[in-house]
Amino acid sequence: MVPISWYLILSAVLFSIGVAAFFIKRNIITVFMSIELMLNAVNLTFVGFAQQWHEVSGQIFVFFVMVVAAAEAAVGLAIIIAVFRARSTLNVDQIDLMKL
Amino acid sequence: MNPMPVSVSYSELLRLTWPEIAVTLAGILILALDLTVLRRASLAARLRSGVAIACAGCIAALFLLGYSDAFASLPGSMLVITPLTHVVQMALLALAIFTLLLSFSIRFTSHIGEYFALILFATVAMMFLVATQNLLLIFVALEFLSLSLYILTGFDKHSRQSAEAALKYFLFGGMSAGFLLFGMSLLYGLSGSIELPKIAAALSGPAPGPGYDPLLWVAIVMVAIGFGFKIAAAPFHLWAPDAYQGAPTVSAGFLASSSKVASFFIFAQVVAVALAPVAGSGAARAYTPGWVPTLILIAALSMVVGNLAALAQTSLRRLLAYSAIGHAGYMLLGIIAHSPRGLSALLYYVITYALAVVGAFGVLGALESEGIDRIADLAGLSKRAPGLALCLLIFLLSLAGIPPLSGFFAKFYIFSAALESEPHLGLLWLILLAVAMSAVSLYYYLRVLKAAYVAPAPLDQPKLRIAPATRLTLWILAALVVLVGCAPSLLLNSLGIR
Amino acid sequence: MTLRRLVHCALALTVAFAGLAALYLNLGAEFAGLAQLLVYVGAIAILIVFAILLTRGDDTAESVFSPSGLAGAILAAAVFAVLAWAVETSGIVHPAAIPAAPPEPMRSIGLILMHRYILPLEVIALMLTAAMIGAVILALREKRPQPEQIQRSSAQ
Repeated sequence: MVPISWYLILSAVLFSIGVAAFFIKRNIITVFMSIELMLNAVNLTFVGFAQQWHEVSGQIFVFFVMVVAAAEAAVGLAIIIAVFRARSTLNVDQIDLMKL
Repeated sequence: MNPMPVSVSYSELLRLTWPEIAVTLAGILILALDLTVLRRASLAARLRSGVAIACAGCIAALFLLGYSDAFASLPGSMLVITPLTHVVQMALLALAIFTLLLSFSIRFTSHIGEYFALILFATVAMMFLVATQNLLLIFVALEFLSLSLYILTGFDKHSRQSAEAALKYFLFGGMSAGFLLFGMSLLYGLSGSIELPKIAAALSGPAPGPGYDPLLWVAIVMVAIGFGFKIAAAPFHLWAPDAYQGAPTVSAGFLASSSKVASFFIFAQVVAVALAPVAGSGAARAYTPGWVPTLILIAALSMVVGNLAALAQTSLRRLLAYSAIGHAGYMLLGIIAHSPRGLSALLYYVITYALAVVGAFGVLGALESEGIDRIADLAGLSKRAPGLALCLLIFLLSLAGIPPLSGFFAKFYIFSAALESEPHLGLLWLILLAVAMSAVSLYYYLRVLKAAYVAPAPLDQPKLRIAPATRLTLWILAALVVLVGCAPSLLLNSLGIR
Repeated sequence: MTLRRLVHCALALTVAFAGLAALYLNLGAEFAGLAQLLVYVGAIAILIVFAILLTRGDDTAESVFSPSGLAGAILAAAVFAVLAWAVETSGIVHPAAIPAAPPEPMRSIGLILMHRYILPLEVIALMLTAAMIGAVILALREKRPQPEQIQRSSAQ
């Protein structure tokens, strides 16, 4: 069996890639995918810990995270399509109607 | 190892969630009516029926709340109902009613039924959010609320700003959910439970417990970042000005008031219940690590960034957005105090703040239908619409914290609660910073009022026409702000401060 | 996430999802593994590909070795270093391999969902309803654009 810490390290790898991609990528769909990657990293920790504690609520939590992610994907992609229709671009740098 | 499935009695569940069910049913009823009977009716008729049904649902929920048990809970801390959660739920319902009344004049969409249904669903999400102590339900309800708010933000299909605001809100919201979840998963890993009280018990366990585990600090930081985004505290505030500016006015008011009340309450619950054993201290000479120092950092940053950035704004909405960041800093003081008194002060602050902000956005909505958005455009408002100008005066002065209004007492209670929390005035520097920043905020609020009252009116500007329903709602809100300010005990008694 | 073309990114993400599903099965979490396959590989990946198709024409190639790419790499490394340090020094993570728990039978997970976690299940059902309504509204093409409002927003 693989020790639990390996799973946590893998989850940390995925999470860091997600965070970095969120901040540097310029395409909205890629940014969106990086969010999905972060959520997946979290799911991995939940499953790992559920295994360690021999407790089922971690798995249940993963199930709910997946449902929320699916709902979020539907709404998010609808928003992306709405923005694309208005601007014909997916580059975050060009979506700057409102200055910070 | 596995505990037997703890059964939740369905009848008990039904009994405890009647208020939420009433609001949900109202939402579904609006949808159904709007799509069938009223399909060919005029926009005004659909608006009227929508507001009427939605308000009826909220009022029914208020009554049901009044008649339900003061203390109740479901197994697994799924629902934990106390008098305090009742008060917060009632405040949320009242805010929803005011938001609905102010939306009589919306013109940006023809999907009336969906709009009202989403506002009601978001309210249901918040009611569940404040009444639970289970990480799973907290997460689900929080994301439910956020999803509804993204949609409400992007509802104006004619405005490109609205879509962009929704996009920014969505991307940052999604990332904050990732951080929050990572923190939650670590808490689960450290304690083996997703119930707040059990997490606290596990964290305070006998040494060598996980009390000083590095993973715990990571969890605390992650949870703070996640909630920091939700409450728009600096440095996680980047989405807020855009979302406030781009969203339809009604949505922006809802976003700035109700969701703030619910998020702050649940943030306080999570850190004060689950993380109570690892609070730490941020006092000047008694520093110990924990979540309190983390929050002190965020609070100080929010106050400075929010208030200083608000000085430079020319758009009223962005000014309100940045001042909201500053207010989030003050409100964090209530959590930092980490005492029942601090929690009560926080709730008093956030509820009175929400009343004033809903009112301010209501005034903005009335102004924007006349094409006024910049502060300079306000010139001569006191002549063109004296009633509206007076309402704006009351709301902004309450936000600034001028004595007879509720904002002053809110600031007073929250500062004193934070000051008492540490012996030897350990947090004095933070309070002094907060007071100084309040003075800064007074300046930019007065700048708006100067434009409205003192600046010479441009010639031949007609009087503003304001819908009677909007005017009535604004007067009620203004009266409430003054009333709660003059007699703070009305609200304070139910929040538990004597 | 460093690939240039959007479709390749999506493909890589799908492979990552599938790999995670395999890991869950390996960990004895059958339920989570199968749900991962169904929801992520089956649904979300398809949604992403659809979004890419619907918004085609903006497939700007990005260089990986740009300054922002370097900043991203540093950021990722920093976040990872903190997390890895925390995991390695943590007392909670058993260093030794843990015995595999008997996999939770699907039936008991279903029972637990319907008993202990019935309230979140209901809340999430309502959430899906709201999300569906909202997604339809947002993606709907509005029939009559009102010229003065477009002017107002572009004048900003």
